[in-house]
Amino acid sequence: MKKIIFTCLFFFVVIYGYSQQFIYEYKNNLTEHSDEFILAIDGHFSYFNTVNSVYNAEYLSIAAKQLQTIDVSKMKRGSQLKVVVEKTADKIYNYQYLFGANIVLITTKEDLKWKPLNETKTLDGKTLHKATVNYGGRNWIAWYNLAIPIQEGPYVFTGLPGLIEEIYDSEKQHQFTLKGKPKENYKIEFVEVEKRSRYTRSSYSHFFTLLEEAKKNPFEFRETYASLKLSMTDVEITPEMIKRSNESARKTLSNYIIERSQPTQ
Amino acid sequence: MKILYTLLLTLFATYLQAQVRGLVYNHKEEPLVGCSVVMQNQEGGIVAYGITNKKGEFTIQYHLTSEPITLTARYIGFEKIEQSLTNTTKQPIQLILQPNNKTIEDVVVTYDLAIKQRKDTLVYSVDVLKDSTDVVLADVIKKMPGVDVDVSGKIYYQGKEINKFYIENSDLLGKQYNLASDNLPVNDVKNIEVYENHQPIKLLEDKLPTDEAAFNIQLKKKGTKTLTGDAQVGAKPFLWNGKVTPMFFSKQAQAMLVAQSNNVGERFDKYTNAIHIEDIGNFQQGAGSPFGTIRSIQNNVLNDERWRDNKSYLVTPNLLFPLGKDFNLRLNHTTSLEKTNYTTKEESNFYIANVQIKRRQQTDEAIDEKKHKTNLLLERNTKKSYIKNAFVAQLSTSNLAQQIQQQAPFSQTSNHNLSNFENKFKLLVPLKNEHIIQLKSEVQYQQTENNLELPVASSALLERVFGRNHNELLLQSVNNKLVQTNHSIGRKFMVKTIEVDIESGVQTTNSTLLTNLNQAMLTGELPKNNFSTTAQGAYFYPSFKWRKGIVTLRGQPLISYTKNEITNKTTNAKQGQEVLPFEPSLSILIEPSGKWSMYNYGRIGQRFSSLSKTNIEYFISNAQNVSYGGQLQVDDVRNKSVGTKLKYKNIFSSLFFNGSFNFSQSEQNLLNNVLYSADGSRKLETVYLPNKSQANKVSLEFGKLFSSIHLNAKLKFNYNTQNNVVLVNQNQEQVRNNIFNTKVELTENFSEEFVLNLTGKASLYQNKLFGKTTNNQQFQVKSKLTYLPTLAQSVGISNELFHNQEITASFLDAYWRKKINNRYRILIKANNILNTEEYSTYTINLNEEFMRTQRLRPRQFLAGVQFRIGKK
Repeated sequence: MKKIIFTCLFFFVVIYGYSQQFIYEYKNNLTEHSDEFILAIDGHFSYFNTVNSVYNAEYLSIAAKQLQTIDVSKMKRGSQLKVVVEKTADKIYNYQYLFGANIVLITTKEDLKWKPLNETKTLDGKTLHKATVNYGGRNWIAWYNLAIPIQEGPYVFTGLPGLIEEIYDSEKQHQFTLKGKPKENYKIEFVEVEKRSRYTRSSYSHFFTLLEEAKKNPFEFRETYASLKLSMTDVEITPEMIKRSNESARKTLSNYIIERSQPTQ
Repeated sequence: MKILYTLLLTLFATYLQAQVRGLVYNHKEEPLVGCSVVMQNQEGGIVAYGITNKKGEFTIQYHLTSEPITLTARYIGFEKIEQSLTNTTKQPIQLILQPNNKTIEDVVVTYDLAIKQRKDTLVYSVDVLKDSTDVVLADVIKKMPGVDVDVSGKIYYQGKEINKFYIENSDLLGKQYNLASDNLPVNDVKNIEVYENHQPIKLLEDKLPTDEAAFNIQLKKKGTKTLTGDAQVGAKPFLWNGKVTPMFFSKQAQAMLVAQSNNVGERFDKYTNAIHIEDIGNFQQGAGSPFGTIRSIQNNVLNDERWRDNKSYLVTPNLLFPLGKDFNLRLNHTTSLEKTNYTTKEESNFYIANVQIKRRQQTDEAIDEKKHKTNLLLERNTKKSYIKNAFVAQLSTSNLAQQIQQQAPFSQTSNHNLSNFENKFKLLVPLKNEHIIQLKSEVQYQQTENNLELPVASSALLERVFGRNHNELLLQSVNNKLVQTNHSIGRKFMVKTIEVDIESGVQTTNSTLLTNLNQAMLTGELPKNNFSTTAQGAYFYPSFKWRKGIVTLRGQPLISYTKNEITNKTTNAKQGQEVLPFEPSLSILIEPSGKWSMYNYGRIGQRFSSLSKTNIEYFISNAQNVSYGGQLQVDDVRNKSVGTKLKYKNIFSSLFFNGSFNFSQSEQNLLNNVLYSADGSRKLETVYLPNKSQANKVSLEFGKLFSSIHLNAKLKFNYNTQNNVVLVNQNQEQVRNNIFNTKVELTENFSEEFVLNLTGKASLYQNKLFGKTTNNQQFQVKSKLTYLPTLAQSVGISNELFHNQEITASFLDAYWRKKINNRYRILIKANNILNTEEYSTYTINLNEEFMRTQRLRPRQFLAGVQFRIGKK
């Protein structure tokens, strides 16, 4: 069992109260991957991350405070969809971990041009209303609940008059579904948005350029942008390793949640 | 003209943009920030919406429409407010919301996944799985998707029995874990954790994962100290059912005592039959099997409480005591006394070429059993070393008295005494370079005595053998002593990427067998049996495992050598055999994802007789069965088997599946020639006749929890085919048996008040022999509906319907339970309300079929109190 001796970690952390927390199930219908995400809302601020990451952060935080040895086996596995989203009163910070590169895509809430539709459906006795929006080159279909007047939803989605209970892209490749509230609220500690210095800030168009670059030559992209470069380690880089790395990366990117720089209308 | 004007105005209005402005306040006239304000048409369709800003203001742009519009403002913790919007509505609109007591929890379901996964651990939430009718832990375990529990309480995860059952990560009960699942109150349990690929020896963790799983019961509070009990009395006749279970579970020490007695049919075999020592070791299976154990009680489709007339007593103290860190002493003792009476009418058909023998008989049986078993275990299980010593002492006495009514009635009695002592020692220590050395030493001493008494005139077979003494009583006594030892040394290490595990050892078996008949019965055909056998052998069991990516390959070329010798102590004649079997096996495990895994295997085995099959001259089992040995011959059995297992699990959708297919073929050179007499009594002679048998088995199992509709569903299918050669009255024939079983279990919580449990079973049998095909079927449907008018009260009614070609039996039971306070509950039960008197079962074995009809317990009523004392 691997063990890491926790020596010293400095975090500038802010503890948020998070008066509301919701669990969403994420499904990638192409890769059959699924995961649990948490949406934590406190006033105008919301935070969206995998339940496992939140759990691991809580575990690491306790271990750091008590100067304990970290038992890696007690930590949970990471998610295939490496996405963290924070929403403030007007902005949406979409943190992407793109082959070792930490990039934050910053947009505004006004960029989400929701189209409310007359269509409704009933799910478990609740009436859900339909709306559509375009984000990341995909057309998304949202079902929201007016009975929960919280203008929030999973991932980057926000701004409808009720909580989004279900949202999926028109090809149903990526899907988020509300499962309910956690039995006990998670304690979430994280670095304030403005203090996340290790993230490269990116506009919509810049992010797309990076994405295209990553698609063309994933290995080279990693070596250019990642904070931990393989060429700086003792690892011997072989053509076979580059080939395998590229194949795996292209497979992931072929079904990436963001597809194009500008939304198609 | 007027119509055209209206139409134009409407069209024009559609494209006209309008705006609504307003303010939303709470009852204290403070602005509400983030309030949803929605404009809806008559059909409820959303026309437009807005959200209030920091000042509580909203502005909504919309297309002018002629249809009526309603403006609704909603905010968590406040009643929504609606207002019709007309051309004359004054702007800005002011909306004041009044508070209500509703919280977000009232609208959104609190979410707790039934199953969560952390690496190789699945966590089943008991709160999600249980319903209001569940009382003990076993009630929830049965419902866990991916888990199956058999009648004896053994737990299977994805088709394989679990290797450990921990309570708060301590192993108090060993294989007798059904004591915990049957007695731990479900309300004390927080989670049931399933450790997949569990390696119980800490030193081997991460080095030698197994393909078995373990259970760990997480209690709600640490240091649970409790006493639960149940006392019921009833009629008719006078009935009792009582149980007291003090329990103590802490991080360091654990203790559990179960004292139980009843005469309502419940038997305790499932607790007393469990093997205490986890490692069976390398003893030759069967070498120590005592001759002539008395007839065991048949397992029934119906619960014991339906048919068994009994008096049963059980005391089992269990203690786990720490001697140091990761160093424990464990004591498990079980004493049981069981008296059982039952009456069976049996109709048997024995198929012989062109002839069918039918036999009808009624048997009244009384079985009296006393069993004592003690297990003392010392175990030190650390990351650095592992040491275990287990000692088992077992004493049992069983008496069987039968009154059999065939053409003429007769009585038959037998008793069986067993003494068994075993000691097993195991040590694992690491060497340099991650090598681990293992030492094992095992010793067993077993003594069995069997006495049989019956009249010679009880069967045509015995009358023929003892013709001159047909008025006499036959007395047979058999004594068997057995000493076995096994010592081995093993080493586990890595060669590049291959894990190597080598074990080599020596084993010895010495046994003596003395069979005596009363003096008058000794004939040339049935002399005194007086034999001793010895077996000495060595074995070399290497195992290689190689893993790359998703594929794991494992090969085990097992080699052993055994020298057997048998001595006829009467004549001093000796015979011997030397055997050198080579038994390779190969398996491939493919795990493409955490959801799927596929296991394919193939193995070739060679087994030689343990001599017991051929070394005795004869053995009289009962009036209708006499076995004959014969000349010593090597019973060479060669097995081949291939199979595949497929497992799937999806934690998010709580869906589990496992399926398997197995084909096995066996070639042997000995066969029992069954010589039937006209009354169906059988003489079994071992003869040399090379023959082949084949078996196919398909098994499918599904488990799914539909959380949204509160439905738990389990489905199971089995299909078995067997092709065997039988030799009956010198006629050799192929017999083919096909058996199809299916089982469906559904639990539906319609609401907080109603819970429905449904179980359906169907079995189809087909037998082909001597050109004749026989088809039979059995169906069983159980349903239980529970109504809970309040949390403290429940009423249940259950129905059981059983049908085969002979009989349709129906049962009705009911109960009422009321919680008086946190300590006491009262219970009233009525069983077999319809007073169904008997039922029948059908079984088939090669060329023999049996239809057994059993007398059932009458209608009865019980009332009692269930209590729980102590703090959690």
